[in-house]
Amino acid sequence: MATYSTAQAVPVAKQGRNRRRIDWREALIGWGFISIPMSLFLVLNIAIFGYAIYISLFDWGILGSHGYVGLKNYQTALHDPIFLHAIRNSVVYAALVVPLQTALGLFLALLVNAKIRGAKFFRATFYFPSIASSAAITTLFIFLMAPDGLFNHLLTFLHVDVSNLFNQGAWLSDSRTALYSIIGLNAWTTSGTMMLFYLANLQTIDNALTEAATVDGANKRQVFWFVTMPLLKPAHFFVVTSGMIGALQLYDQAILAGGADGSPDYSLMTMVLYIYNACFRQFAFGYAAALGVVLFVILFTMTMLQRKIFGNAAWSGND
Amino acid sequence: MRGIKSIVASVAAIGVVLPLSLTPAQAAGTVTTITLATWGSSPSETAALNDAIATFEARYPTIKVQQIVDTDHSAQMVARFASHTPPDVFYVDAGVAQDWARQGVLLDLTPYIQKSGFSLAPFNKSYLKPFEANGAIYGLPKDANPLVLEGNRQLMARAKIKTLPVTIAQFNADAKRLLAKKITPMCVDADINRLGAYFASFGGGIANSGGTKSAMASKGTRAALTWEMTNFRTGAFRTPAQLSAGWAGEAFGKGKCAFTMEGAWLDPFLKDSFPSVYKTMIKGPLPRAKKNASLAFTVSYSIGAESVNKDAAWSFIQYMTGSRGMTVWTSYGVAIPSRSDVVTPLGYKVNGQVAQAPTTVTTPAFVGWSKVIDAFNNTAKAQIQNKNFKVAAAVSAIISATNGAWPSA
Repeated sequence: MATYSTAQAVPVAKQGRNRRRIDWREALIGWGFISIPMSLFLVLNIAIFGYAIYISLFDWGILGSHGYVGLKNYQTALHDPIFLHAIRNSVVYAALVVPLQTALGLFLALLVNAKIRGAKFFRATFYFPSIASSAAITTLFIFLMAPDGLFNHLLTFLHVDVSNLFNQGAWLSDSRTALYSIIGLNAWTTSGTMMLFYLANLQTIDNALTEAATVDGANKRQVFWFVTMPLLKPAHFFVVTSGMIGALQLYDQAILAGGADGSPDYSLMTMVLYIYNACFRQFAFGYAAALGVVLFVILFTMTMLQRKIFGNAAWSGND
Repeated sequence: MRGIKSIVASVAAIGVVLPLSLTPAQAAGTVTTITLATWGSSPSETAALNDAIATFEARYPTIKVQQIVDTDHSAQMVARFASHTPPDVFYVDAGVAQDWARQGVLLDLTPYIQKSGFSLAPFNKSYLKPFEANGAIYGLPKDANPLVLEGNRQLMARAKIKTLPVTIAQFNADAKRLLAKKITPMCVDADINRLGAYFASFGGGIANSGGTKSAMASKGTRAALTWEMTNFRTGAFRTPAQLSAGWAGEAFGKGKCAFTMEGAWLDPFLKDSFPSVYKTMIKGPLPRAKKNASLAFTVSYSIGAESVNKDAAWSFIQYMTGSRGMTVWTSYGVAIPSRSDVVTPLGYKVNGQVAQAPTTVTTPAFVGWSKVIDAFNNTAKAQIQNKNFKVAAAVSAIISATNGAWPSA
């Protein structure tokens, strides 16, 4: 028995050592692979963010520090009427564009996921605005929204007197309509990307679940609201979070339509555009860094809030 | 021994022959390549610059110029300054010169000017001023570009107008006739760099004579703004956006307005894009209220405090802002000489006269000027967006916002 036990024990110990050696080797290979992107992430994201926090505590010019100022840049930011206006614009923009692009993305995904003729064509068509250059799309949009553009021609066709409308039909040059025009533009251009995320999630849903609900007597609307929608939680979380982050970082369309000054009446001044101004037009790098940190705090808070709202199920991908 | 002797002889022979095969500059080992950062521009302007550089390189064979054309010059220059790698020479817009000088990124040219005996006397003082700070000179104006009045003769003829308005009263009368014919009289943006041109004419100004304190609340400036806002109210002035154009020159070229007020940059644009309008265009000074006045814009050639080839860069600036280089550069008509000893190019007589007039001033140059521009433009554009806006309230709002953005000390 003892001989048997010894004979058994030796190979087991050996196997264990071999196993541990293999585990170590696998772990090292794994760490080796992960170390490259992680070091890039640490240097390009975390270290730079740390450096931004550092210079935000200084009066930092083009060539470096002019002296330590503590939290003065943050105090200035919180009392800067144009920055507060930029926050308001960015929040209004995000609050409207995110639900719009999410709803539109989901609608388009459901449409192309249905077994309809030419689904692939529609999928490509709906996605096209997302891959086109935002500068090109915005330039096109500026033409469409000009006083003699297509949009006003449509209104004229509907017997609307354009000359008495906002800034005589110059929608992007009126502080009451400029931001909302950009919201419309971006809801359209980003909905294709959102459609793809929803489509990916939709195609992972097991048909057996919807069929079971149908067998149990649920109609189409009930299947959608009580089966499909909860199963799309991971996509909801991803779409809303990435949409929110993108929306709060609006820059290119704002500068193209309103110029660097975000005119008229700072209606197109967004947080990122204001950071650009602080950096490249006022040469206040320390102040720009402080504004960047404020933007990060807002984005981080919003993301955590969304995580809370959608729950850990969405985060982990389980329901 | 014989082998060593032959090697020594061969090396000596190479040492004698090689220099003969090189150009004198290469032989002296002094060919220097300097970098020149500019912004992109029209084909005419590019041709003018290339020609001027070619004449410089012919005159200074030991210096070669490598051009860098920026898409966002100011932002790209700031990035280069921050990374301590500025080009040797670069354009500096008058509007940012004081900011950049304060940041310590520009080289004081005074020692080079004194050492080389380069005379500043021929320069119009107004064009030098934006680049001077605390007794130092941080750039020399490469040219000047004042605002003048341009008229579309075909549209003017439809309202039976034969000549450009010389006074504000004449402009008002012409505007009425044009509006009666459903022609927009003037396309001008609600921008301090355009509307500000009339302030001095009405007895006011953007800033005081020292260029440091706001003159926005002065009687003259208020009168000018009242006249301008009244014109926006009546439709005598319309912005490019209201006329579906990117800028006033485009609206003018498309025949959407009878007059506009731009600089010499309008001519090559019209010549290329709207040749029929260009052929019939007439030019004159801006209509005057109490006196003739205009705003002018200028750009300098400057050297970075950390530029590598400072001496060669100075040679380049000295040539390009000297009478010879400036003659070549402005001969294409894209800009007007900033020196009184350089002849105004053919076809730009009016621009030249306005550029040299003592009443033509550049926009103020001080640290924080961009904030003042933003405040004025944002408020002015917002005030006129409502067709039935109140002129007095609009004027007060513009003055208040502009003064609010003025640096406190």
